[in-house]
Amino acid sequence: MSSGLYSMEKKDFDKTFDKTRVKAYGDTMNDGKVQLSFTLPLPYSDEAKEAARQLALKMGIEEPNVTYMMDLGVGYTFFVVYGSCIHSVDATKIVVPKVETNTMSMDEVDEYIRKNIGRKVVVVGACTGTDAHTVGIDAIMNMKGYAGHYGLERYQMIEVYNLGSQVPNEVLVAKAIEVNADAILVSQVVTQKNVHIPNMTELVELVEAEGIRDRVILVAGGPRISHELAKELGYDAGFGAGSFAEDVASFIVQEMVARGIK
Amino acid sequence: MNLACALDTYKKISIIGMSKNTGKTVVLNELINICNLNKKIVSLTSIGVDGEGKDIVYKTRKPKIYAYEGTLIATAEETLKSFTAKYEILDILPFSTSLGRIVIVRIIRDGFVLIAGPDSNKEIKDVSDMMLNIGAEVVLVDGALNRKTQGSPSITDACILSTGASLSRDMNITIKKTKHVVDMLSLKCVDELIKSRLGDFELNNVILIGEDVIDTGIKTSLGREDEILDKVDEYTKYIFIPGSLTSSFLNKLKGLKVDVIVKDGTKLFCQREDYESFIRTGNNIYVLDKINLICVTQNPVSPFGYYYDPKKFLNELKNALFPIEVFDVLYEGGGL
Repeated sequence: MSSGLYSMEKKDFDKTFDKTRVKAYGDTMNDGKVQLSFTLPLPYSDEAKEAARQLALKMGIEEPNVTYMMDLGVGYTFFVVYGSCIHSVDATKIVVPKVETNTMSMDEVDEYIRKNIGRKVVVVGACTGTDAHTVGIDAIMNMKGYAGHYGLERYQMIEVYNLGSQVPNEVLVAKAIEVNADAILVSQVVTQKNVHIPNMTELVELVEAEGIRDRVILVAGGPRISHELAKELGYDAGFGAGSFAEDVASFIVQEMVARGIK
Repeated sequence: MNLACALDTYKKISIIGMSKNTGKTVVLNELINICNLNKKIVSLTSIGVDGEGKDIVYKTRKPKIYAYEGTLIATAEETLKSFTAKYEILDILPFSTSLGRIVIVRIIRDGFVLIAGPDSNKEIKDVSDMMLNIGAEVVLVDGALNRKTQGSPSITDACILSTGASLSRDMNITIKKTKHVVDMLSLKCVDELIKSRLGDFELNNVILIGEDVIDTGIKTSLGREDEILDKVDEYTKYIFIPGSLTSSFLNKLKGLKVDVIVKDGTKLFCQREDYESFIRTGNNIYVLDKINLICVTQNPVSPFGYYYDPKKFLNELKNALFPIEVFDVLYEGGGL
């Protein structure tokens, strides 16, 4: 029956991969195919569908196709749009600053502390502000650690205080002063509307105001924290997703030695 | 005081902002241009990252920084790769940052620069003094986000506060928030007599001043509010706090006839409501060193797609902040 409008012979797809112009990949190179989903505060209607299509066009999506829409009630509609994104990125020019330390194993860190610092290193950590998601700070600090990487509590030469969640900055700094902390770890997981930014700068300001900035190593961590952002905020280092306790511990002890903190 | 006059009066000037995108870098560029016109040797550093063209938090566009021949800059070595200006390295300092060591360079051909200075206030002060020693006539310290500690008189001689529409969609809220920070930065100095009574003490502990001056041995008010209050008796008139003063401590002091002394206006971490209700009960907050707030600058445009009427914003800010002067460096110039 169907003689087939679909050509089995047409094989001249674009196959060139240009690292300076990387486009999204659907099923052939450089087709730019993307799928996006979003909600509009418009009642479920053909007009809403057209609004979704126009919004996608403005985002640089060619031939946007609303493949799915659902009435969310109270005048809101959810959309899934499919199309080709016209934009490309130059992957050869991407530079992401990362914390540059030699990551040591747990035993090596302990040995390094014994040899170079000669006493226990005190680390205070918390999930600060309104953030109640301790998954990050616990992965770094709790004894059992995460994914086979033991947490700081298991290190013989590190004394750990994990204050938990929703800790006000002033409580964290008070604890750091009380126990003479060498490092403060701040975890921020909830970052909607960038609430973590003023919260994190307030901590730096408090530490400066208390006059202990020079003898404390400030480390920030969380899925949306980068090393570059940490610098902008005034922290010594920032650890994003995929960092483990030994990365953080190695940085702290090497930075202490570099700064001559004993 | 306008910007040109400030550059003749002060040697170390910091720019602090109410939040991101309030126009700190625009003010910095204006100051650089004034220095260039007046043939003043300017030196630059920053507590954040400046001149990168694109914001790393919001990915919005930011102004670049154009430096002229002779300018001295203290910045992290990684940033040198992004310079279009030609430079010579004068010194490499032992301060490390996440972008490498801090170096001092001199610009030998005009161009764009990227500045990321040292991380701590003490290091900022050290590099500022170094640059003054090797020939700079004025040091400009650019801020980051909403950070303010670099405005402390122990670090810089004077500061400029930038505010703008990015703070809030509601102009009145922006003005209220700015007014609170200006109030904190312009707190009055404590009486000379009281200051002299503190003279014999190292100002590292909480000190109570009444009939006698008592060193409590407590290093901070954070988390130790109750211990301090236990030592306060009916004769205590002033409490000196060496570090930060927070809302929680202020609230505990309510009802007591006690004034608080802090080192300077950057040590205050209290909400506007708590500060106002503390003042209303007849108490006061004093500082040992007053911050020289040169002026406030405004940016009526927010990168999030809304803006205030520049004239109205300027006028209302001027009314709210009097006698502090307010400028819009793009709209009317910095009072050149």
